[in-house]
Amino acid sequence: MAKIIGIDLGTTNSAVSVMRGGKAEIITNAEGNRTTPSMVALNKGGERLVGQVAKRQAVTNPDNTIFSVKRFIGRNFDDAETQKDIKAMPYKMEKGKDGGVVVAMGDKTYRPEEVSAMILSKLKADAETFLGETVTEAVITVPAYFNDAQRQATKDAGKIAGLDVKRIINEPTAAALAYGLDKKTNEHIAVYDLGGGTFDVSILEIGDGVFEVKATNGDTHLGGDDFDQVIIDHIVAEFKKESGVDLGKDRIALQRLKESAEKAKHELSSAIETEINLPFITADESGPKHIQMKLTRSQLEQLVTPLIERSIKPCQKALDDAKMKVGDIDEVVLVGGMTRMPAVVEAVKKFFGRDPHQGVNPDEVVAIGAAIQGGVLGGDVKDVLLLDVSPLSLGIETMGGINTKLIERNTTIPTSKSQIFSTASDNQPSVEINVLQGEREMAVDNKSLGRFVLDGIPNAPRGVPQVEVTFDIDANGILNVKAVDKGTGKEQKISITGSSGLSKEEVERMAREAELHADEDKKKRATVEARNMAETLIYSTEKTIRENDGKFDGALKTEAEEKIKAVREVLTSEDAEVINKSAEELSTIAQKIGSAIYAAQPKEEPKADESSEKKEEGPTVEGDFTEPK
Amino acid sequence: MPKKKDSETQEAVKHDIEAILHERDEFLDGWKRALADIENLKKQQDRDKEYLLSMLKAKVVSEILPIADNLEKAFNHVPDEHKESDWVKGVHGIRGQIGNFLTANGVEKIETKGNLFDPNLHEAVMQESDPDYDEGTILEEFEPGYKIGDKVIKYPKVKVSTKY
Repeated sequence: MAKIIGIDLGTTNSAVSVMRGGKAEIITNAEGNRTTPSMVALNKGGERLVGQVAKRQAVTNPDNTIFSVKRFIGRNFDDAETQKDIKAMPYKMEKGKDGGVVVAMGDKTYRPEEVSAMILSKLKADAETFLGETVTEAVITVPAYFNDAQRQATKDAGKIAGLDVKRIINEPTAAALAYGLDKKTNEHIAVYDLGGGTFDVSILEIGDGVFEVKATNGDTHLGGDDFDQVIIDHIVAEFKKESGVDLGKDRIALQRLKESAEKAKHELSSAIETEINLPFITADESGPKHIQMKLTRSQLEQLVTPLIERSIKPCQKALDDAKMKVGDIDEVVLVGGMTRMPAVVEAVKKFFGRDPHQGVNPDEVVAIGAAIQGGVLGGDVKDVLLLDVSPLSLGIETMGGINTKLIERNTTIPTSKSQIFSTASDNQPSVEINVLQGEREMAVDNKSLGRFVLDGIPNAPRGVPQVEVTFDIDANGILNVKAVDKGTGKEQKISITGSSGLSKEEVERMAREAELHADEDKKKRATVEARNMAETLIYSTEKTIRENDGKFDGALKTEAEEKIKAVREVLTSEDAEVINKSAEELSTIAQKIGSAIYAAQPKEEPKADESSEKKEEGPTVEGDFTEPK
Repeated sequence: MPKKKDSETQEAVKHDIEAILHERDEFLDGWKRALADIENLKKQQDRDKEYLLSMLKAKVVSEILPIADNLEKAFNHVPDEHKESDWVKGVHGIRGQIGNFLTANGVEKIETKGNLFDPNLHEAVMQESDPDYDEGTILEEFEPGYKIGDKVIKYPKVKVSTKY
């Protein structure tokens, strides 16, 4: 069955998404990008260019390169707002026969929906390439404040492009869908959409799976580009102060500055400080000039404060229009790339008094919501078979107190995983299986779900017995752990119910804790593993010496014994590097001994003895594993 | 259990069996589809992996390009009195290393000056009228551009001549 794609037909950029395997996926275009500029051009040869390629020639063809046509779709030519926007565009527009706007490209005029149709055609074609099948149906999003004429014109644009538009949905509604908020009842949702060129805020009400728009407001000329400009102006001013050179008129330098400003803006969303490094930005009689300055997050936040404040005012206006107070808002959703900036998130949080929903890529959330709507209309999203996941990792305790995970958190269940383990000491008669739940590296920091013992293991050197441990979670979330001694066939098992019975908050808390302690846990684990490897090395070296005494140079034996003593002394160290270094020195001697023993052999047959096998796979220590079958 | 008429019991059991068989068929079908989905996903992943690898390589290489370009800019400004110095010669050697790295990764410079502007290969940042050149000719290159095979990894920024 053909898929219904979801299209976010934006003023500056468009994105397309589709449901695949129950999840919404963004469709990359022919150039490999996840968004496509909403731009169309007619070149001198009469060839039509759409998207990024149109953008690249815009400067040479301002009369025939059409952008932001969304501002004119379904509008009246004589409206004051329309006139204002027309004056800001470099391309020609006229009054159409029906009183609407028509755009001139080449020697013809086009209605805005015809231009949008050209963009939609490209999006359709790229989607067909991506999916490998024909696409004939779509859901297209529009701003919540679009009137009937604008909505119909958008639908017509789809039709002209060969798409049967199954539904036109509001952008804020699509965003709410992307976060699964359609499952809520009688709640009020605020959608804060700060994109590249425009800002929109909408207040929605959800009840019985239906969204209602209570109010909309915004600023049609406030977006990410303004934030970039503020940074550029700052750099130009600082540079002028330092060097006396004014880059304001240098088109090429400004181009590099723009890219650098955008990059700095992105970086400061995660770093506290970034560097603007532009060598050879320009040159004058005194020589080449460079920009090398730091920009801190707090500097940036100071610079953009007026812009952010500009976005909060419409939020209050929208609440007033909806006759609501801030306390009436139950959910807040963020849309648009600019909402990645921590200062923006903070301002939104402060105004609405609650944490906004994040997590879905803010540039893609509207397209994703449209795809979800498309999936529902196309019957993709059926509630027939829903699968759970294991919310936390499950594993067993291995040598040195390490948590060896067998099933990672978020693994879809039912599932089964096996691994082979072994003994830690010679003639160990039994193994204890301590079933652990949690993300921490050391066993004691996790929850023990249960223990059992498998005994009757025949006498054997450490690392030789093969005990297969299997974790099986069935569709009901019941965990069955089984341990089988592959040598004797003896087995023991334990059944654990309610292993996924933790609340969402508890699971999230454990995941957070694991992240907090990640570094120190890794260090601890590295130390224990170093200790385990060193001990195994001592064991195997001593064994080799014992079994081959006399077959090699006594001086090597003495050196080996010295190195063994040295390793033993550092075993209690907490520093993995110290242990590893000492173990490496022992390893070198051990290898020399090995070579000496082989050199002394009369035959040339390659011996597949235990120690060389172990060397290939690594020491078989309890805690080390072979590939699960 | 209360005794029912035999025919009623038979009917009920027949009904039950039909329902169970139907359910079995549904489950089996669902199972087979799920297995088929996994296999198809694996095949798709194999196709995606190859594509991803080439994309990643292009991405990393393209991030080195601005640095290489800055080094070129530096060489455009070597003060005369230093042009023959050993130090400059050494840095020139480094410049050569970067050039070799790019060539080894299949990176080619995109021709600009004097060629016809093509938005598939170039990005116009300025236009100017010049009587000596036909409309649509590239007059100047502000930033170099590169491609790997047919794929442009960085578009050169150029000045294009307009109708005079």
